[in-house]
Amino acid sequence: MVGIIEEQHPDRARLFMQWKQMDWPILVDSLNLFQMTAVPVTVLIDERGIVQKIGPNEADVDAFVEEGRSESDPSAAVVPPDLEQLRIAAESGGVDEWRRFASAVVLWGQGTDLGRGIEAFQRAVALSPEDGETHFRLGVAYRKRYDSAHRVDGDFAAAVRHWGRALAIDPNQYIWRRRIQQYGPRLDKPYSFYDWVNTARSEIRERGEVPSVLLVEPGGAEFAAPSREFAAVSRRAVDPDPEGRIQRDVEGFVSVETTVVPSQARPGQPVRIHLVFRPNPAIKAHWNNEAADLALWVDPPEGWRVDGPLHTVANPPEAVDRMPRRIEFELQCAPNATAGEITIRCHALYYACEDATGVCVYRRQEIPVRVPVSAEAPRGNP
Amino acid sequence: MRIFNKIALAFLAISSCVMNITASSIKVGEPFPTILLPSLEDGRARSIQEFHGQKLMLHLFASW
Repeated sequence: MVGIIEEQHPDRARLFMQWKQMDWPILVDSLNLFQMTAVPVTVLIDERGIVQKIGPNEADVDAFVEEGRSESDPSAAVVPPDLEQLRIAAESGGVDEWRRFASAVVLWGQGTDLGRGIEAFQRAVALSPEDGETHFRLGVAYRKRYDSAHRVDGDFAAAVRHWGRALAIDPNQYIWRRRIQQYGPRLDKPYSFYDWVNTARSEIRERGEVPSVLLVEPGGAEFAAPSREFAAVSRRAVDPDPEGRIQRDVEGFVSVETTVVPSQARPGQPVRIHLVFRPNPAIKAHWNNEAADLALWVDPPEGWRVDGPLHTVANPPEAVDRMPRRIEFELQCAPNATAGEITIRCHALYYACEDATGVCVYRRQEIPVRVPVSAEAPRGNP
Repeated sequence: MRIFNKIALAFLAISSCVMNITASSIKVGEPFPTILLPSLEDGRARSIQEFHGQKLMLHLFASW
């Protein structure tokens, strides 16, 4: 048995396999080079490498196995493609050559090469703007860079935009749809994507093993359960700074990156907002965890609903840290919204310190969350 | 069928339901596509063609 995983984060598949005690060789197809539209799919392949059956049942498998056995050839050494040759071919070629080069760079290049891969995919998109596969793969490349040490602000938002563009081109591509749903609002989820992670870790530890480490921990959307109606919180919350008395963070102790999923709201439909707060490395800023938790107040405009106006992130136990803080919340677009862009007024309050001076301050930051609104109905079913 | 574990059986059960929506690159009666991919184990380049000469049950899946 051999497996191929269609997943943005292969380390999660590694944990899954450890949990389920699967020890087959696994190949990672994060760019969906096999053009899968759904998984799981089982394929029976004979000794000559010919596909004999797709989606077999148990009887098919039994018959396949009983049709005689053969000795395997020794594995031939496989080497990654020559990126320079592919680049030269792309420079004098067309969209296929650019896609081939871009895919190879993303798969086989170093971390710093993700930017080259993104640029190459952009060349392919420019040559063939209606090619959904290229948009999807470009989105994967952006998200890979977002999760790497070479992250550029806006990478995640760019990934979501290109996945959305791919899905608009082919609404029946479920691998693409699931990638957006992974990060999207609960109303659009068919299931919770990574709710198994904590169970897996617990059961692996009970076996006396150490769970495989995840390079990127799943976020709130990836654990969130589906919902059949928008979960607006009815209890009254209090704005922690209603009159705006807290001094603004004009020094730039903390930066905020915003991503809207999906990248456009539609009348009456939900979106999930991802906010990442990062202490400014230029001034070696860090969180003071002995003070109040980071708080976010969301003030939606008339007709829009929010799943809760006040969101907080509990401080970790250590006295200080520099780790990003993440908040996710959901909005429901006003039913009568018109096409354009709406700004959701938010403000955050936090306690941050500067290393050089030792100064710690309690600051407020206004966060205008800009949500593009499309009047078009979504295409296809979830 | 006893040679396959419970996970393989579960994949089979679901896979046989979604077989109509699979992939445009994999076709019955044709060679399985030659595509190099990184190994989950160590990141080295691997291909399904390495398994020529033996019967192969291949699962395409995700952990989500």
